[in-house]
Amino acid sequence: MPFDLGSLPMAQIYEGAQYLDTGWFSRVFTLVLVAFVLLNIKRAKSGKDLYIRRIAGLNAIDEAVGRATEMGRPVLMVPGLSGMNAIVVQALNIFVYVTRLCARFANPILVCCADAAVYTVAQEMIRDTYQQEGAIERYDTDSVRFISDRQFAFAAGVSGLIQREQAAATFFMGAFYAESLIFAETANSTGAIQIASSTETTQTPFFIAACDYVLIGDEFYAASAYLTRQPILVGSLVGQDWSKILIAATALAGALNVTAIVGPFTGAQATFEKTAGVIAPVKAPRAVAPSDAFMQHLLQGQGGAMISKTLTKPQRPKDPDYHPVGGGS
Amino acid sequence: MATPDSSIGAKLQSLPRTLLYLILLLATSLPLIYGELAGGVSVPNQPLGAAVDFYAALMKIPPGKTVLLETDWTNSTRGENGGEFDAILRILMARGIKFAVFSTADPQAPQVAMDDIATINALRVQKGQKAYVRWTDWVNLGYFPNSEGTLNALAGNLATAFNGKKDVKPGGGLVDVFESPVLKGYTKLTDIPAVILVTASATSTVMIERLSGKVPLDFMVTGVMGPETQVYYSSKQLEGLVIGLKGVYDLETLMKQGLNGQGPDAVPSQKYAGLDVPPVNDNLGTGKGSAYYPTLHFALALLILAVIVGNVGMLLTRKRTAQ
Amino acid sequence: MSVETYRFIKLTVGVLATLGLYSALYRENKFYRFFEHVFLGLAVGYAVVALWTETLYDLWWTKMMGSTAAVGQVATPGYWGWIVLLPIGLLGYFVFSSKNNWVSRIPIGIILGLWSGQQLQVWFTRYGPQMVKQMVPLLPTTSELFHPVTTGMTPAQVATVDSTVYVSQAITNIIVTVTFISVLSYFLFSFDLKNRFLKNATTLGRWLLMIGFGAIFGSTVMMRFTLLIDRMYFVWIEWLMKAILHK
Repeated sequence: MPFDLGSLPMAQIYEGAQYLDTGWFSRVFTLVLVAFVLLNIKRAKSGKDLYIRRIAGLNAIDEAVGRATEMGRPVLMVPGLSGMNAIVVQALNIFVYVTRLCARFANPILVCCADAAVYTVAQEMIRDTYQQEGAIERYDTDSVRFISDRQFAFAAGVSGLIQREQAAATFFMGAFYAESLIFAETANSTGAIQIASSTETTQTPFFIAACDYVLIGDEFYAASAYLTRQPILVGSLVGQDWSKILIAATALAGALNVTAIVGPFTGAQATFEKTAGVIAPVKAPRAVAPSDAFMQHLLQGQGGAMISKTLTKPQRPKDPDYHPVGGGS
Repeated sequence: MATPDSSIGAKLQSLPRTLLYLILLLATSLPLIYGELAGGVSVPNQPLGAAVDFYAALMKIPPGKTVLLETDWTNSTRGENGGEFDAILRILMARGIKFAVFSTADPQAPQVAMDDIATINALRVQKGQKAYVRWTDWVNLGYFPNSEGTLNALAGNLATAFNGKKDVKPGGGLVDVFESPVLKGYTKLTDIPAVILVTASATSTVMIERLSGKVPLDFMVTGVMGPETQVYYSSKQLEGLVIGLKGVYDLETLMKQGLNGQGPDAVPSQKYAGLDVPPVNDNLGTGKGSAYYPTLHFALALLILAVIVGNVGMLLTRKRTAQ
Repeated sequence: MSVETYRFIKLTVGVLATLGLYSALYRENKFYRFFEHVFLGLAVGYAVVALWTETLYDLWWTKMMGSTAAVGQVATPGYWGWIVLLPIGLLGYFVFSSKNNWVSRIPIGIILGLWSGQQLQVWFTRYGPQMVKQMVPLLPTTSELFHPVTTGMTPAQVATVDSTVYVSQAITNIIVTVTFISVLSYFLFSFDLKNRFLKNATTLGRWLLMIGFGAIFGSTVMMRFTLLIDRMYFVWIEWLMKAILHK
């Protein structure tokens, strides 16, 4: 790709617009994805049993709680560093399942929060779980704790807690950053069985290296949906699967489209280009670029060149050093 | 079967932690001290394309214009972000580009940034250069608690986003920042030639979501964020990108040698053929990148050695168990 | 106190705190715990002050009350509508009521709703350009293997070279596309993995993911080392050599 200071993305300026205007396509595409999710939630709610495969990490959860019970040491859970959002809710859903197991076996738990809103919700969800299990007398109000909302202060606090309480099983699920390895290392040193999942791709490798089982990326959402069987979660998961297929198909179609128009093995010359919606002959002879492809126009919502396969001999430029590659020689 | 404890394999796999920490301590301290005493050690370097783009982008901003400098790091990541921030300050100050500092990640970040600005300013004064004056050359907009809300507001209207923020005017107390020479006359985001983000947190993603395509973005991120941020650079959502210590060293190399220039040391770049980007002659000595980068090689060599020792130990143990 | 003395005290406290936190490498001890608590306390204290000065005062109070440039001269008018945020925020304190703590869910619901709506709005900005860049030619446009060195060529020649897809580039593009499709297929959960093609694709996806994770791991280890080197620089160079020995 030639680099031209004038052709950087910021050359197109969308003043005052609060999102990048890529034409009608982005809106329709987004709406289709939303429709996929909504449709599948509706299907799930109407009682249709939507299939979700059981991922291997789920067995590890039962095993970890079982071991903590045998050892009589607490189970420690951290729902990540982020504020209150969908990721935290999913993490707490998994923690509710863990807490349910712990409540049955009278195993102590500890939930460490880094956000005030998350702390409030976690407290409520954990208390509700004990109530549902008919073991409210086992619920310790100190089991859900707010440590700090500053990253490394939180890391220092939680690692101190892991060491002092000698946690036997630890669950790190949600958005983790640089503190992930500090937690995992500390828990490893106390011999805890660790199950982790970070929605941050960069932290997953550390969990893979230091933990016993890791739910990678979306497996985290799948686990939450599988455990709760809530129609909204199950429907969303299936809807997301459809969305992933659509995105993969779009990208693949784009790649094939680009491959076809650039002229495989020979190269093709652009004859017309579309600038700001207007089709005009190209100003200077040039080879067809991926940005001339229909699929790229569609996604970018802006101009590009149109090609004519029949015109293989472009007009020679005045520059005597210019030699088109491919079709020309 | 013999007890595995006494075998060489088992010993290699369970070297005492304290010993390993001690070796690491020496491996990271001795080269640093040597480098300082020897007045700097240089390592051959070919700057990466992303850092070259970053440098070229900054060097084309006209002097006197104002850039937004979002600083989302604290002393926890000083090793990487500190070097990045020093480098960006030196480039901006040497070129006479004004800047407005703000943070959307950590309340401590603006203070850390101000300490850094003071350090670079002290160095400039020491070398007989003009100090960069708060209020006339730069302003501190402070901390904004909600990254998404703040950057969304910024995308819509610069004046509204920073409305009501005050900074210290010499001899005039706290005055509205839009009265300052730094932001006077700036009303829209498009008036700003670039937004630079020095970060150790996910605010980079938020900025891509809110500002990409509306204003040139230049990021300086930590090594851990490198792989994920590289994607945005590859898809041209970012103009330039500096990643971790290698990025800092790249930038310092470019600052010292220039790009495609006349000098024998100039970094050649095919991409910028025909465009000479001069070095930054601020004469402030070597930066953190040049101080740390040679030492990193010792640490990495130690790591590779440890991985080999551990694996040899594991192979020996396995062989022994198989027998 | 002179600036120099202040700076020296600041550096020394920094060195003590660094040693304190690193002492945990030996074992958990009181020295470490002291600095851990200092760290926690400082962070909370800083956050509490910032909550008023930078958040509530700057972003809420000033906007509600408006600001004046000089005495009697309005710089920005106040918007009384911002007062609505106060009761919404205060609802959060209902969490302490054992009977009505459901009320505290209202502000959380509002925050979640805002967040979700915004995600819908921004996702294409984030991923759209990446999807476009994913659309790459999978077959070369020439039989030449590698991109030639363009030094000394005219801009027109460079443009020609850059728009040509060489065999090596085509292979790279195929790797990109295969990685994208197979990794995405690893995250399909509503299909049984009995289908052989899907099973192979997900296995390939898992392998490719692990290679990617390895790269991230290496990059992060470098960062961790850099942070350690920085601490060592702080202790040996900034404190010992510059502040104490005045080298």
